[in-house]
Amino acid sequence: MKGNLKKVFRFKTFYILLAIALFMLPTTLYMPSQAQSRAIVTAIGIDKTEDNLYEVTLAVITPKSGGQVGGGSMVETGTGQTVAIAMHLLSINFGKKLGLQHCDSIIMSDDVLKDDITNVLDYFIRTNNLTSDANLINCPKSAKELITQGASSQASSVANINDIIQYNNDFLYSTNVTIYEFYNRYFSEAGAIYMPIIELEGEKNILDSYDTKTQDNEGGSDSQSSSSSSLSSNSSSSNSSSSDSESSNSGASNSKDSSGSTSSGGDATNSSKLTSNGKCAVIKKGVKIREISENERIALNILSKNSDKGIIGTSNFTEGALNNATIIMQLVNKDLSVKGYFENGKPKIKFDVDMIVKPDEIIMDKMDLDAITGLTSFMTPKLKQALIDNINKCINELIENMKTYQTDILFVYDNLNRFHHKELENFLNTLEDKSDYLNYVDFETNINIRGKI
Amino acid sequence: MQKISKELNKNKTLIENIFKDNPNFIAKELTIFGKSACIYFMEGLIDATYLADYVLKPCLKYKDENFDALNKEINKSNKKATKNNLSNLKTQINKSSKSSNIIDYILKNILIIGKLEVNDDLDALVKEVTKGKGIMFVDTCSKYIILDLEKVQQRAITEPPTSAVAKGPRAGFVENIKTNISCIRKILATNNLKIETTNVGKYSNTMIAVMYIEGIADKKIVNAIMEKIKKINIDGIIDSYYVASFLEEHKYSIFREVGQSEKPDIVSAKMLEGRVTILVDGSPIALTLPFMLFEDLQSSNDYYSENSHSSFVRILRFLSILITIALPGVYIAIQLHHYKAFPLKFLVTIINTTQDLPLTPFLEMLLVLILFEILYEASLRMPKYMGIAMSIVGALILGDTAVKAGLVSPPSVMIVAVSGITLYTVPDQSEQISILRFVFTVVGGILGIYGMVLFGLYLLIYLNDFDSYGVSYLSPYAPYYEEDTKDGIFQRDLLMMRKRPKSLHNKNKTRIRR
Amino acid sequence: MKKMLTSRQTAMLLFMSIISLKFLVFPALISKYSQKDSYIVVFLFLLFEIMVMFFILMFIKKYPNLTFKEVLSNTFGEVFSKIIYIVLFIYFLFKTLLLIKETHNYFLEAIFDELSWWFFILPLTIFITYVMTKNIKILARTIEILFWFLVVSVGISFVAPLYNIDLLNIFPVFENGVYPIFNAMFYSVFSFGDYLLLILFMGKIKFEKSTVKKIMSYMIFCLIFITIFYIVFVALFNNSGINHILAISDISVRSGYPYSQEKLDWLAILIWTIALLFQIGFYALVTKNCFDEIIKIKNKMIPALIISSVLFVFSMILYLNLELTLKIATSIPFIISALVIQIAIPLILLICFIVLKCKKFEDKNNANNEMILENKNIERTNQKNKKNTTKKGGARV
Repeated sequence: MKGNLKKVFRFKTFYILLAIALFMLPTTLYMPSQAQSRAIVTAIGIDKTEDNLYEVTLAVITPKSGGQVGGGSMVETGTGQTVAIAMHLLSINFGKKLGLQHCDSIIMSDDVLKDDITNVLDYFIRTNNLTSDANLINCPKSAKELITQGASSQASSVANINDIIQYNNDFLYSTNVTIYEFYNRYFSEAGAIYMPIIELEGEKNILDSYDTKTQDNEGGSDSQSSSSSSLSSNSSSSNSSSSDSESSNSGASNSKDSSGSTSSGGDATNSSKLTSNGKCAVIKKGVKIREISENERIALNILSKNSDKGIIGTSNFTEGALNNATIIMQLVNKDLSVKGYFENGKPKIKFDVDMIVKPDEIIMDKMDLDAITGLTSFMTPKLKQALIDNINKCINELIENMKTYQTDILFVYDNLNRFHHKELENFLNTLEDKSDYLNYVDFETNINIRGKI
Repeated sequence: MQKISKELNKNKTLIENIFKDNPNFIAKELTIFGKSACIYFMEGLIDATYLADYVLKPCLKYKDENFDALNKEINKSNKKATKNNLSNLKTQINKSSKSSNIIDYILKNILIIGKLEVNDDLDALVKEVTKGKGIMFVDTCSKYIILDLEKVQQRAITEPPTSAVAKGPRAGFVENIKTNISCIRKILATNNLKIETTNVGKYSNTMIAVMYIEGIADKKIVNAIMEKIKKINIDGIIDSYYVASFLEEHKYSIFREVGQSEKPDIVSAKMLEGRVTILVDGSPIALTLPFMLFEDLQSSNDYYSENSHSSFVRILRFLSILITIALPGVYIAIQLHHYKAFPLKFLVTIINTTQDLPLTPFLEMLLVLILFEILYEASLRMPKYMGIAMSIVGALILGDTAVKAGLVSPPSVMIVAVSGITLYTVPDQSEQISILRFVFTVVGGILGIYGMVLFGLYLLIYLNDFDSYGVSYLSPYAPYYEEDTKDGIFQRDLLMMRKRPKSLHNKNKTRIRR
Repeated sequence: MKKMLTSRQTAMLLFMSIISLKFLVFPALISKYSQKDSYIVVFLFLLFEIMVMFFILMFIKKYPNLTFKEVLSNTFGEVFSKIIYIVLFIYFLFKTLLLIKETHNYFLEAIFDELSWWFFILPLTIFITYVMTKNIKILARTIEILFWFLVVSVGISFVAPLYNIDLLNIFPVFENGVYPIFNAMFYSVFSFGDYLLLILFMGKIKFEKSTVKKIMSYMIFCLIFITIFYIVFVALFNNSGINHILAISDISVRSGYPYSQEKLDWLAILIWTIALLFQIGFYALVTKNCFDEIIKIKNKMIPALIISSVLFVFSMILYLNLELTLKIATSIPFIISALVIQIAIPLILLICFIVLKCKKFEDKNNANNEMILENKNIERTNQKNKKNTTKKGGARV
């Protein structure tokens, strides 16, 4: 007996490990793949109904059988008094746990942004499910329509929202707002941030691209009947097979209606698509204040550190070979320095911008040979001044709106606070309303434009 | 220790009694110097032509008239000898034969064989006969002559299958220990190359040679090895692996502690670093001690080509080991526990391909792994002419039909296939890695990445505790010897490796002098 | 006393111990009290630790073969030394427990979707028990293999976001004065004090000429490494740092496209998992070594089982609740106890140093003298070699 016990004890590590393995193995043998047992969400849309309930729309990946490449998307909507309740009900309807880890976009309509969105986002910061890198996006009309259209459209899919946002962020004016970035700004003194806007748009004339008119959403009407009970879930789903950028799917879309409501899916002939046009909304303390104008966008493009692409232009310019021309210059390189300081107790912000531009397009009634030659330098002092005047006009508009709406989207407070904390404190103490500091800040811009032939 | 008798007849009776049940045990009687002699040998084990040309002919032809006359005188004098006569005769015999006895005389003047030994032990005699030697008895002599008539039957020296090189020597060891020793001798032409031999195996009487370079190898290790070998008490040694089992200090470990090589150049290089080589008769695989895990990442090709390329290849080997061990486990772990880790597009592929499969991911992976192992085993054992058919069956059934039938998913097959290919970048470790691959797959399935990391750490700690004859198993990286890392994963130029590895307890550290 | 650790191994073990508790919950904890000045807190604290380590190394240099136990016994007696070791045992036991909690929380948040307590604690307990049966030399060798791989990977994970962040966000410095810094230092005492490990390594380090230099250079590198991490943390998260209880994971996620989009942040997650699990094993081993100095048991398995059972039970009681554990770790009595230990032990060492110097203490084994003799022998052989190289051209052993 002792001898046998000794033999067993010699292999104690092995036996312990074997025991644990056997104990845990049965569950593992029959454990399904997490990818199959979860509804993988790629986009979340949040709307508000007339009854003040939150309507949450999820775009979920559906598998394609037969070894086909790419995934389809299914759109499902749930309603609840809070986002958490709606998500819970959606989970029940899917029959699966929601997998939010791959969700990169949270789209909120204007209705939702009327109130402080921290109430909406609270669910997402507490769940360990969602990546903190999800982008917050504003949609003027209906987030549900946007997601449904995006899931069913041939031209662009839900995944392309991120491409649009990312381009804006990388090259234009840092509009990428993740949840944590939002909270960062929310709890800062400035409290304002700008959020990208994505909307549904029909096909546009290419020449109209310089216009800033927003087009109405050409998506089909969607009437959703909502239950009076706050805890009930009213879901309509549209199954659609959307194409990936790689596959060439024929894109037949099936739309299933429920509860007598119509939801329009993507039609092969209807070319409404997701567009941004570089628009963004200004959010202060979680509430949408306004949308920035075209001129403000140009100003933001210039005054943003990260951006190195953009266009500036002037119209009705006459000099030399140019006669009443509209000139569009492309930004090649930009060097920006922002300096915040105090002068006699008064805060000042100075923007020094040094830009290198090259002519992108010249439009005039009668084209001159000299105008199209690449040997002529167009960067005359007069043209320079005209461009600078145009830029200053845009910047002034931006600053005026900032002051009017008290939205510090140029990080004025942070610039002043960094190296002049004491002076800023003293300055703010002199004000009756500390949040009104923007009105007392002097802005100075020093723009230098150089031409690249 | 039983000694033989001076009388030939007694010896004959004794020997014939020992080998009475051996029909191929032959006795050849002859006369030499007028005395009866007998040669015993095993038919089939000796070279008959050699026996005839270099033993029998010289013996039978030999006529030393002086010796015959003296012999007659001795015989006469034995009958009525006087002291003076005897001493005179002895002096004369000494002068003419230049040896103290007949055996000596025969060894020096008659037999033409290069290697001749003399012994008087009966047990040794039996061993020598069974080994293929001939034994010569001469009447009135208390010793016998061992004739090296062994018929060397061996295959040609070819390149070993598991140690192929693009450049460099291609000679490999064979089953004959003498040939193997000669291969090493050719490379290490120094008298500092010491060989200590012993015979092990009750029934096999296998010769084992322990080789080392005096002045470089640590004598303590040599003595420790010799001691262990001498303690081996086994029926028979068939292959060097039997000896390796006795030399290992950690039983029940999947990691081997004894290095193996089939190439004399590798073995010689290892001896020059301070290692000890053990050759076993009948096995083409030489053993080297002490052994470090990193040796299996090195290949002889690395030293015969550009060191930058060698470094690159070593990194590839290291990565291959990691891929082999971890890839199936990581895939299963991510599928079962960490779907978050997949990028979206890959996740979509996984969802599409694993849709409606009858088996769970864990079972599916185990099934594919086992099928691949079976395929590998079958390919080793099957006749060559069936190879093509089996490869088609394996490829079609596993690769194509099973996937199309919806039994397994393409990613699983691909992952196991990749893992199988990377397994053989380090063939010496393939057995261990193959087992570890299974273990990591099971652990990954049960506990996810957490379990794999935990087990990996456990393995690392275990290996760090794994000393082989005082040398750390994970040298030169743990403990870290900066000088030794010149021949580590990043191989430096040969001229920079001026010192012998510090991790081996060798003497005379300098190997390249200015 | 058998020397088990080289100076390189010692430095690496200390480095890993210092960073283990600094990269997860700790940044958020410090941000709670000091907001943007958290990197200053860490910098000052580590600077103090380095100075204390320097003093300890000087002590070890003077008495390289004395263990801490021997020092205490020679100065204050056996009973006092046991009391100190009991205190250290409890201290490191709780440190292990805190690290287990953080690790569990990390897994729950970053890696696993669901993680039940037994699924986590059971294999970990077995692993800890196994590690505790080993020598510290084995763990030292393990970290030698893993060290640079871990450091470089962790470094990449928080250097990658550098292009995406505005480093000027760390300003203004001392926004709310100096008080928050000292406040934060007070509440984060328990996460520091890693020089106590160096004290426990006394007598086990192979002391060479370059030992002090080597260890100090690693510690300075550690200081810079951690300070940069905290600077990146503050610059990236600004005022919302308090939300990020998985600092290292959140930083790598925020590094921007395509790093996080293509899930390459998993490199940081995997590497940090290895570092955490190793560190848990290491702390458990240190705890067991303290236990061995209190009660000597021949069988290695018994103290290992005792300690792992204690850890298992405590984990169950606290139910792997990180908030509760942090609450205890930041409670005033606990902080004061940790502070007392961290200050008292070096002071005791200083007193021992003075007392031993006054006693003109000579090593019982004369091992110090042996080291001097050995050095002299090496010098002689080196001189001989220089003479002989012209004759034979071969180096002596």
